[in-house]
Amino acid sequence: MGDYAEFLNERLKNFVHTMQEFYYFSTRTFKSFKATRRYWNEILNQMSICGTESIPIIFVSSLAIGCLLTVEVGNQLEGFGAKLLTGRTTALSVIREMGPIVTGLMLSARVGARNGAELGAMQISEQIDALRAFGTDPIARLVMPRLFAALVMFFPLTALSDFVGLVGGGIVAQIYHHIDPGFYWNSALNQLIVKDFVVGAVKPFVFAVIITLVSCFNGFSAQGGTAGVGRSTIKGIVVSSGLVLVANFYISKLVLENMNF
Amino acid sequence: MIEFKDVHLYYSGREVLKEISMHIPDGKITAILGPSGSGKSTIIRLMLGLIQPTYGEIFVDGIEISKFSEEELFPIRKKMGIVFQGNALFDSMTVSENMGFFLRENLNLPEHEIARRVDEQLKFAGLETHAHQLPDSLSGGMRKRVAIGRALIFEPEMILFDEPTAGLDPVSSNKILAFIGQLKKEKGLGAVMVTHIINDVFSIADDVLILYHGEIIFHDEPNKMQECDHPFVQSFLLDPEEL
Ligand SMILES: Nc1ncnc2c1ncn2[C@@H]1O[C@H](COP(=O)(O)OP(=O)(O)OP(=O)(O)O)[C@@H](O)[C@H]1O
Ligand SMILES: [Mg+2]
Repeated sequence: MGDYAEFLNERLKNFVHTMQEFYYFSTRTFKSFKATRRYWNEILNQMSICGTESIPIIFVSSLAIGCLLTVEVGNQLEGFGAKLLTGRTTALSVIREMGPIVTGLMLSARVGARNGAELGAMQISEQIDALRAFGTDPIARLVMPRLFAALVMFFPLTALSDFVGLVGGGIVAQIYHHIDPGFYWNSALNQLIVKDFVVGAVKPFVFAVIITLVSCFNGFSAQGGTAGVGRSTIKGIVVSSGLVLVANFYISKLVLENMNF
Repeated sequence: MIEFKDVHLYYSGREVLKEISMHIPDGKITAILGPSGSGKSTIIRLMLGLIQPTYGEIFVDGIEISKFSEEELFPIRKKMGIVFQGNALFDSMTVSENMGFFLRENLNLPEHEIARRVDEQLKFAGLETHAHQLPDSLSGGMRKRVAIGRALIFEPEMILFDEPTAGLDPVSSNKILAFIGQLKKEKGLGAVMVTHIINDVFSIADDVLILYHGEIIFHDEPNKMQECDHPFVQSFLLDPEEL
């Protein structure tokens, strides 16, 4: 019994310690935005890696989700004789929830894995210490450009995901549910209001911060050889996808409850 | 000049360094000898402020650095070049980018001046023909020379070597040792050399410091080692392979 209490105590202490470190890591990352000009090339490079190269996966997954969503929603609405509301329902779910979530989860896997593995390998081969020893702040050089790039690129990727999802939905609506495209798009877009866009637009920025900081922090904390890199990469992805889902819920709740236009 | 006063270091509750007090002079080659896991690399990391001691004080040229922030440590680190145990070359950069790294990051030099100094260093290390290769495509000895070149390029006052000969064949390792000796003779460059190979110590070190389970059990000239009566020193003088 005493052993178990001790074990819990140890775990709790470690957790608090990690949270402290994470807080310190995050503030240092935001402070290093002043080095933006110095690492501009690195930022461009990261933008191409996390932005441009993520397009195919976002495209495919959003298309699939948009199509499936429309099939299901149309089938359900048909039962109530309300099939013509398919466009509206699809648009709301895609712009508020599915677009941001699909993008967030895909990127937390793709970008998170890359950050965790790359920085973890640099950590265990002492390259991060070498940066420090040679007078370079590893956070400004490695983490800040990744965060900057994510903040710039996640929003357009989400917009792309919304668009592809809606188009996919439109195609399915026409072929499968025989809804006239004009009607689909009208019902989809006409009744959207500002807060629907706000919900969809805030999320990618929050996700960018969560995914980048969590995965980079885990990379920096890797220890114990190649297996350690694996562990810290997994941890980065699991924690950041979990946080993406939680944050998604609260952003929707906060914005939809508090905005009235 | 580097000085440790009563330095203790704990890793997750385990005392890795116990009461380390020592004094490393400029312009000499000081070897730190000890078995694997005795805390040699840890000492090197403390000297650069890469980690902080649990308690105790560390002085570099009379300045106490153990509580310094990263920014405050920068001028200290500029005085010391380091060659890591596994080289720690930046594997996404070419040999010449690795060598010029410090210059490009920290000094506001024009690009042609950086190129000139890098070329000079490449020639010095005998790596001209490999300038545009990635470190992964080089042999162990070459990688070591890149790491040394990267540490020398900004003309530090002292250079720290963590196991410079580990994993090298005898020819390469003699070359590296001769090179460290030559740096001292020609440029008066002091060095701290971590090793577990006794021959390295006899061939170039002025002073040797023996670390055993996190404690310093001997600190004097190499040829005084015979007189040391610590059982560990005695046993490995008889059988150096034991380390
Ligand atoms: N980050 C760390 N966390 C926990 N323990 C560590 C850490 N780094 C080193 N240690 C422990 O500290 C002790 C000293 O390690 P150090 O790397 O200084 O040894 P060393 O003398 O350089 O050994 P080697 O000859 O194998 O390089 C070892 O027992 C090691 O397990
Ligand atoms: Mg070591």
